[in-house]
Amino acid sequence: MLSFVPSPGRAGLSGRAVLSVFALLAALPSAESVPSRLARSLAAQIAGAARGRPVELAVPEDRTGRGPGFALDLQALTVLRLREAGSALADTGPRLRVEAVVTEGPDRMVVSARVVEEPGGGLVDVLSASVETDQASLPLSVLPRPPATASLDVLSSYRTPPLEETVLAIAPLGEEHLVALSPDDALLYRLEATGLAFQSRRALPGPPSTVRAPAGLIAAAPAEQAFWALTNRSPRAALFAVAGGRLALREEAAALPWPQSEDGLRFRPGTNLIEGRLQGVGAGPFVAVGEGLAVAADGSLLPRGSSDLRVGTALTALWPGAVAASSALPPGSADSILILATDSQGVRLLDSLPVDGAIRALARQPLGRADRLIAAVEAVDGTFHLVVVDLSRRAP
Amino acid sequence: MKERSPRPSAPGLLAAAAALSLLPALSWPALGPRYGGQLAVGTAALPATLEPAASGPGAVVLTQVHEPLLDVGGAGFPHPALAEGWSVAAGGREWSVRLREGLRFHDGAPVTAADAVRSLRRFLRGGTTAAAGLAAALEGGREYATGATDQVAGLTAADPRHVVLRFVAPRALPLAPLASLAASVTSTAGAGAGAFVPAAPVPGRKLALTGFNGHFGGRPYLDGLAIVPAGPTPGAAAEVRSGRIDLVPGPPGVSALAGTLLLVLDPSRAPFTDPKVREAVGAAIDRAEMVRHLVPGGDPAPSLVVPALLPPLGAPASPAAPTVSVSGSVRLAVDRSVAPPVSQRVVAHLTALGLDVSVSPLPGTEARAARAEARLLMLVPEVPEAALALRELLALAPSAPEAEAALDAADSEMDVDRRRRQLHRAEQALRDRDCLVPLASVPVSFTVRPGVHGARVDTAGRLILEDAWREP
Repeated sequence: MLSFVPSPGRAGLSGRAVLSVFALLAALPSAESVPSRLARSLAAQIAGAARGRPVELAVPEDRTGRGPGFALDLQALTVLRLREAGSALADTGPRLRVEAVVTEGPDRMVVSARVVEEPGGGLVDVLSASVETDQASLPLSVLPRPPATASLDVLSSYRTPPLEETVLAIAPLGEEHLVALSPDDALLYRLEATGLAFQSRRALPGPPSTVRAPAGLIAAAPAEQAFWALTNRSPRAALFAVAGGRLALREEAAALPWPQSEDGLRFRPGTNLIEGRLQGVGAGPFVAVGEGLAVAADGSLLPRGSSDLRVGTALTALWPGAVAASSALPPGSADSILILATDSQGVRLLDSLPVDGAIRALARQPLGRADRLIAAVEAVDGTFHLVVVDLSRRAP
Repeated sequence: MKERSPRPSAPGLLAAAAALSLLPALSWPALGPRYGGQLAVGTAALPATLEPAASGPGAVVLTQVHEPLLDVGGAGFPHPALAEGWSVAAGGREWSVRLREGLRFHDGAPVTAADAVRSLRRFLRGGTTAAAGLAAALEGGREYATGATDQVAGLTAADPRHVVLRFVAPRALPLAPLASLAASVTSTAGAGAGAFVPAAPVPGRKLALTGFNGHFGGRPYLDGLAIVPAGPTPGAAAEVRSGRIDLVPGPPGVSALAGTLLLVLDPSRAPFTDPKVREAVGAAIDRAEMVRHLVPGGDPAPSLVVPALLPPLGAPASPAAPTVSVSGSVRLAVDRSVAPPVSQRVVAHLTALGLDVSVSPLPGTEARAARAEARLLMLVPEVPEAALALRELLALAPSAPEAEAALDAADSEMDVDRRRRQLHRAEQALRDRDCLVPLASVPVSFTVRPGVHGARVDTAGRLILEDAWREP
């Protein structure tokens, strides 16, 4: 039987949400964080190579995308460890200069360094240190805050390290949880002050079919602590509930129950095209759906899209009269979160927030006067990470 | 039985293949692929038949319709297609190829090991270089290929999902011949299992293909293809610009350095009976200048196979000025897939040497077999694997026992470096007599209309459209 867990209306700003925002803003790596462990490992290697000679540690070149402060933090932590180990530090005179590059994969952070003699620049040694990154804990790193625009204030912006998963869809489940779909699983994360903590995983109904472009949909019911999920690999939609910090499969259905659709939504077999009729929007196929919104197969935003404005395959509603969508730029272009105004006049672009990759999914979490946008972003190397943007409307 | 990864060769070969897989994807897909829509694909000629063994310009269609058990990647290593993997036993002599589960042909029939065996038996008698290589290696293969028997002891269906190939001796890359398009698996009714299903042919004018939901890689993004006649001419390029056709053969566009432009001189016919004349011809053609002006994207390295299959041997010795007087009449059979400006340039060089040249343009297979003093060929290997490609060249060359011996040694060599050395020995032996004169490595290219993404050309020069999509 097809059933739907009704989604509540927009929640007001709760005290807990405010605390969460401010805690995120203040987030710093803890003593046992990945950078701290990496700094300890790197310092040990440097001390071994230096053999008592003075050391200068340059600011590492950061290729992790964790933000501008990360490399400075790593340098400071490493210097601290060197001092604790009794190493001499110097930035003039005869010394060893350490020039490091830090990179990050889904499960390890790696720092590689050249040790050169100064003055002269002769190569003395090449070092490499790495530590496992904890996928159960995804710390948020602060990103540079883009300048305010005519219509938006970006309060803060963060990103997670690379995830192990391909992310097809995301949705907040109340203030405490974020749910996501990978091609084969539903995933549950707990939203914490300093990041996300992985909590639970459940397989979607099988057997999975082979598709070239996996896609997924989530219809969340935060009040019920439950959500319906469907991917184009899975033959049936599944209702999951959060119980005791774990996901439990409650029910399956032939179609994904959706608030504005009487018959629910399905994927056209083998494709990422969403089929179904949406009240106020019309019949599919769609490539993305939101609250009372959809993206048609030609990239136009329904129901009031204009012929010259195309969007991508990620979409979420923001405050009344505004939506966020990925861009429709072709391969080879960097993606942006488009903030669009929708009213009786049609759709117009308000703002554009560039991201470091291609946006594959968008979700919104209301924070009272502010909104939190969460984007699942695919980097150029094929890994996914989440970008969290807290923004507020500018008064007209 | 010891389970192996899909890379079926020795540890050295495995390591090289694994290293390649670490290369990052370079595109930045802001807009993800879109399902739907059609592509109009121009081809020099519509295929007369959809048999997988058919050759010629219609091969662009056959590539979309048929699927072999496995494919061969850029470094010559097989990777799964209809097969999901394989295992090896009996000291490297017995290979068990495992089919993916739930596969179907276009006609709805399930793909079984019996279909694969029947298709490979057809392939073994097809007479291609890869078929001959497989026949020579399989137990009972040679006798079957020549028609001496109707049984192939070394080719059996163990159960509905496993094809067992038993070889006379352990070999390097023994499954590579299975990547030939001619080895594609078909149903008893002749249906393929490729990404597109042929439908609604209009003989000589148009062929429609529709996306196949049951393809092992998933339904292609496109709803279908319309195959229309259009050659690599300026007119065809204009049709791409106008939007009537989305994709035609010819540069610029998607391409792969897959072909070798080759001048074949017959040492049994005057004036090429004289080795000095052959040497003079090889030295007279300015490869770099020809590539710079006439072969965009080409490589003037004088290698018999493209660099992706076998690294070039290095710069040849500086060509000495011809010290022989060259004269006489020469018939030059020219493969029609060689661009006319290129063949004209070659003729000009031969004429400048003192030869009187008459040209006969012929379809590729006929040009290869032509009885002429010289042949100008575009050689795109049947299977993009160096040993098989060199064996194709061996068939064009006069007796070359040294090359043959080196290729035999390469076939039984499991170490990647030592095998490469044997392949280089074979190539050098093929070039030593100046009968095979490599002129350039040439890209196989297709012009693609802006807004069409995901089309690619593989190292066998095949146009792959299963991942192609168009912007809305």
